[in-house]
Amino acid sequence: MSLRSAENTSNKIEKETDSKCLESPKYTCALGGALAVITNIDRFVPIIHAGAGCGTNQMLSFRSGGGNQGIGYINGMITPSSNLSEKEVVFGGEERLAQQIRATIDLMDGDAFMVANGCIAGMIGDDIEAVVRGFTEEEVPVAYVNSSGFAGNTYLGYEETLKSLINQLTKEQDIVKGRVNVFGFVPYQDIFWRGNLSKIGNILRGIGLDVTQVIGDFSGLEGVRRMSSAELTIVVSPWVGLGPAKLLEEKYGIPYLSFPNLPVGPQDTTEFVRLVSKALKLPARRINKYVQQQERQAYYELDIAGDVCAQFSTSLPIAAVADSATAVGVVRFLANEAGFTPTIVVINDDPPEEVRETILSRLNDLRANVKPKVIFEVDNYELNKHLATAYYRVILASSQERFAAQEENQIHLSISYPAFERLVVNDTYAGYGGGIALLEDFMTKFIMPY
Amino acid sequence: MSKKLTQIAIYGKGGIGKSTTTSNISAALSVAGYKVMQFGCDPKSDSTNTLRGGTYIPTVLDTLREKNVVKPEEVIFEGFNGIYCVEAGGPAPGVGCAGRGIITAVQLFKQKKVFEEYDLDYVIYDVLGDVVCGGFAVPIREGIAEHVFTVSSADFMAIFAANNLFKGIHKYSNSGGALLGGVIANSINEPYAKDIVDDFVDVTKTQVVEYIPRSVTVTQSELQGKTTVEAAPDSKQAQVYKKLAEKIANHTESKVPEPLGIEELRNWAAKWGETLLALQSGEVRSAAEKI
Ligand SMILES: Nc1ncnc2c1ncn2[C@@H]1O[C@H](COP(=O)(O)OP(=O)(O)OP(=O)(O)O)[C@@H](O)[C@H]1O
Ligand code: SF4
Ligand SMILES: [Mg+2]
Repeated sequence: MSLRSAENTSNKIEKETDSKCLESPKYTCALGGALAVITNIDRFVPIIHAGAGCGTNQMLSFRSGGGNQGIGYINGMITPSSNLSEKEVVFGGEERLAQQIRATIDLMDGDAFMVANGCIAGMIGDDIEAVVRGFTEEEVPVAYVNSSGFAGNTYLGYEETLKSLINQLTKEQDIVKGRVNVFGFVPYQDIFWRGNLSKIGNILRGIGLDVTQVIGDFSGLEGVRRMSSAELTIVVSPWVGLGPAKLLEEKYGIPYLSFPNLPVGPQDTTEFVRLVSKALKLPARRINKYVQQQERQAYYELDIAGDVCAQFSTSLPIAAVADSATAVGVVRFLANEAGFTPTIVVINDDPPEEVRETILSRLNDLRANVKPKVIFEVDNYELNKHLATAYYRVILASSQERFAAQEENQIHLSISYPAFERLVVNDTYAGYGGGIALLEDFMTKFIMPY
Repeated sequence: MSKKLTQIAIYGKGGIGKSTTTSNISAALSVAGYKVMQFGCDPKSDSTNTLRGGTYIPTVLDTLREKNVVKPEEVIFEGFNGIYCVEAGGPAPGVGCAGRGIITAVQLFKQKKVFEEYDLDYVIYDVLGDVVCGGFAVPIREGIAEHVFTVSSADFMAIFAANNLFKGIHKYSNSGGALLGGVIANSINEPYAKDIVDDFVDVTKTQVVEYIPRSVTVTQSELQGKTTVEAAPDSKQAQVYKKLAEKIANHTESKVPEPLGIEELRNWAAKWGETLLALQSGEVRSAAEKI
């Protein structure tokens, strides 16, 4: 384990790593996380306050590594940026930023503008809040997030941006019964974020809830503002999204719950539904009916896939390399419901120390005493050393593991960042039918389609 | 046709007398017939004031800010006795990065080969305060200054700053950085002040180049916008500066100092604290006792 994390979920935005250098870690910087959020809120216009390369860097890594997903409202090469150069480094970049905000408001049509800064601005200490305060009279809100790249990775940027949105754009308001926020899906970093969010959203709507997901839908500024009227915040991750969830609790008394993995397949999805229902005291009859219906359909489909799975399952040990929520979710489904044997799980999102027990506990109670080796590792070199000594025939990982797998004639499927060789729009392995989708994707690769 | 150019950097705690001393060294060297440039590395941009009748000159960075390209003649101004005066300049207090500013200004001169073109004997950098970041260390890094002198009084804070500078020199010494010429002891009037500085250079394996007394002549000259060497060339104080300049001109070999560790420095200061207390309460000890 080469990265140790400081309190990632607190308000602190420092993140401590030890001095060892990393080989291809699986994420980008905090600015990347910030842009991933801002560019996916409908009609939000991002303004990068950073060096000229930062925006391009983020765009390229997300565009290619994030499942080849195209641009949102304002994104990619057209993202406004202050393109800081030596002059601003020496004299400060505040004037340049003010200019950039002015020009962006004048030229671009948006419901809100949000500044995200990179390393340079953070290092020279530009007072971004003061600059943004100069735009309070505008018709549209201008927000900002401190996303200095050196402060941490994509996950930190995701959380800090949501926290900034909560702090700067939400107000105390009446709680709407049955309204929930959903956090935990970081665009591109989770290549299935869009499908995951909409699937989880559909499930929650299925049990009568009103879902605010903010990103990846058309709720836009309105969606952002709705966050403070929720009855509950649901975090679908053992740790990603807890920061903003806790902030909503602190500011508005909105409770939160964390479901520690992506619910893949009927068993975990029902557990998820029941957990949410209990927290919101939803009527048992309605929930039971929903669960019955969904499970019936899901198990019917699983049966269909069952024959072919049974043919291969004993001879197909599986490795998984992904962020905690995805890795745990996928492995639980494969072991508990599809009869496969995961032998090694590498968790590569560097979860904070205090949630690692929870993560492990979700992998320690698998069916038939299946006990995969679990490793927390972000360094690609170390990670490969672990994989080299493990036995498996299928590897669900990122594109980085693909070539080693090819050499060994293993079946490889990208399910985590970076995924270069996959186009992902709505794909998801979440929910009642999610497991089937996963089986379809990787079984297809070796059933030999003559 | 260029002769051998010597580049010197003067460091020291804020307000300790760096600019005063540097300007007097420049003036004395110039009077002795050398071609001198004084390069102020401080966003306050007041290093060369007493060489130019108390006036400020446009700085490299201010000029750069307006136009992106700077010609040397736009930022080099002649002062007393033909000394070339340059101020690096920098951002307003509290914004931007002054350290990067110094790097930019110094590198601009290096790239443009200005020093060679002006056929100089000496470039003297007057660098702000402590070595707070990489920017302020640029004159002592590879290929710029050869010798560093630090101005220090007997105040502990000034000595702490000198010790920090020694650490910086130590760090860059194996990558071709500048080495330490010695300490210029400023405002040394009391005998114990001399003892303190002497002891410090002793433990850090360096030397005192010159002891400069605190003198009202300096203040009087400064009020006229002049160095002591210019305003009161025959004064005793001017002789001290001239002697200092001569020593610097003859100085050839600088060394790597041995800075004290934090703990060592604290203990060293504590010992002197006790001695000073004893002095005050009448129980006089001589420095020869070497506490
Ligand atoms: N030997 C001296 N005798 C009398 N006054 C002195 C002497 N040395 C310095 N001073 C006075 O101390 C004041 C501060 O000196 P100076 O501006 O040279 O310090 P500095 O180290 O350059 O400060 P800064 O770090 O602010 O640039 C000046 O008013 C100067 O005249
Ligand atoms: S780490 Fe810093 S410099 Fe690099 S892309 Fe991120 S913000 Fe820009
Ligand atoms: Mg000065």
